[in-house]
Amino acid sequence: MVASQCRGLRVLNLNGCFKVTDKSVQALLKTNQQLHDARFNQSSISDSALEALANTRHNLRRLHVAGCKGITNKGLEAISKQCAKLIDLDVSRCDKVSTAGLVAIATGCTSILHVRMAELYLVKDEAVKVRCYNAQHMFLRW
Amino acid sequence: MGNAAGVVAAEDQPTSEVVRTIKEDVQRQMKELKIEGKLGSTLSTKPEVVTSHGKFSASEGADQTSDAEAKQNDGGGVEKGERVDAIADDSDDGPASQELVTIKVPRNLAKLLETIQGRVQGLEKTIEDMHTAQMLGDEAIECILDAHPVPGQQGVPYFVYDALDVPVDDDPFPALSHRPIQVLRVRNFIMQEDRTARLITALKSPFSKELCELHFLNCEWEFVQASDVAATIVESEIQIAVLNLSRSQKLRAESFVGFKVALSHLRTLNLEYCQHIDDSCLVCESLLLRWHFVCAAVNRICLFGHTLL
Repeated sequence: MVASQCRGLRVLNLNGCFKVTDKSVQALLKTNQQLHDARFNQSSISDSALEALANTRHNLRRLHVAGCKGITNKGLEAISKQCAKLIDLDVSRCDKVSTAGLVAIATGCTSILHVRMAELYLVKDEAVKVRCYNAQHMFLRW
Repeated sequence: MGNAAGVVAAEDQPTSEVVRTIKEDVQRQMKELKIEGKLGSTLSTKPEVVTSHGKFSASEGADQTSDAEAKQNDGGGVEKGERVDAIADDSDDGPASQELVTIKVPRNLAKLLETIQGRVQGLEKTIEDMHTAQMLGDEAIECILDAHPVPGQQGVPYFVYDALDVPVDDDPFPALSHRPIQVLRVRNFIMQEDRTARLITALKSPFSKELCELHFLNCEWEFVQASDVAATIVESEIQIAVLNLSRSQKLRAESFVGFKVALSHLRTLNLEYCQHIDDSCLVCESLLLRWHFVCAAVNRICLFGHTLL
């Protein structure tokens, strides 16, 4: 529906739409090649959506997936390989994300400025110690 | 056309003489523009005329109402304006010398200043309240944005309406018919049938062409209403770039689907915390949604029949 009508979306905010899954994201990405701000906090998306984003969104600047229980290191690694221009990432409360995922982001997304990683119980010191020159803000909350 | 000598001559002439000369130049130039327009050239509709006394244009910061009026009047109001700025450069002659004197002619300047003054005072009060409440960081920023929403770009006329702040029977939409608004922000509003009708009427007014952002925060829509509004947007050739239905927790999926025809120019879609939005709304029309379409159509026919009776 939206996917067929919208062809120039740049900002998509589906925060809190917990009924939205990977299916929507994948369909939207097929027709919207200029998306640079994607927010899916507390939705039901998983690594498949992040992989789709990574494969098509080289200009992605902002990605918010806080509280998405299906997100793992695999999805973040896909993002880190393709989205070098990412500047704002929120992975708070993604329970399955661990140190490896954040290290991948820190090393692959060299433009990153803001990282929110509250309540990530699997993340250890290494994720924070990794050389992330540009990061200006890190939100760490336990 | 104009040159440096012309500028000097203009300064030596009595004011009334200069004004008369300018009027003649403007009228002549406007006639030429009209002729060129008929030939199919791509002329800007913004009134901008180059005369021997410089380039005349409506100020970019001027009130948008008068801009729209100027478009309708084909720039006829330019000569009625006042001279607020003059920059002279007598360095050389030639084609560039047409730019020697720049006169910006803003209309309704007092109204514009009043608006700015009002906004500044409002902002000062908000900042004072923030100090009182000892707000800091994100909380303070959100407070400012809530009290003074930032429109799509600087200087964009926008209209903010919160149903909690005004009588229940009042609604914001007639305002759309009276002045051009690019950003319409409505909060906490239940889109009843009569209100929708007023919105549709407003969307059909010439001023609605300026509209590019629709924000309906925490509002309730019925499917028929949403689809009627969307159809009007398309008919009126309004290009909606931003559609914000965030926090409309009661927004049903089929109501959102009603907007689908108006989405082709969309750049930003915000459905934050619309809990009923699911894949079927975003990807395809499911059988369930088609069933809702049928129900809505039947309901509409019944309402129409009831009205006739």
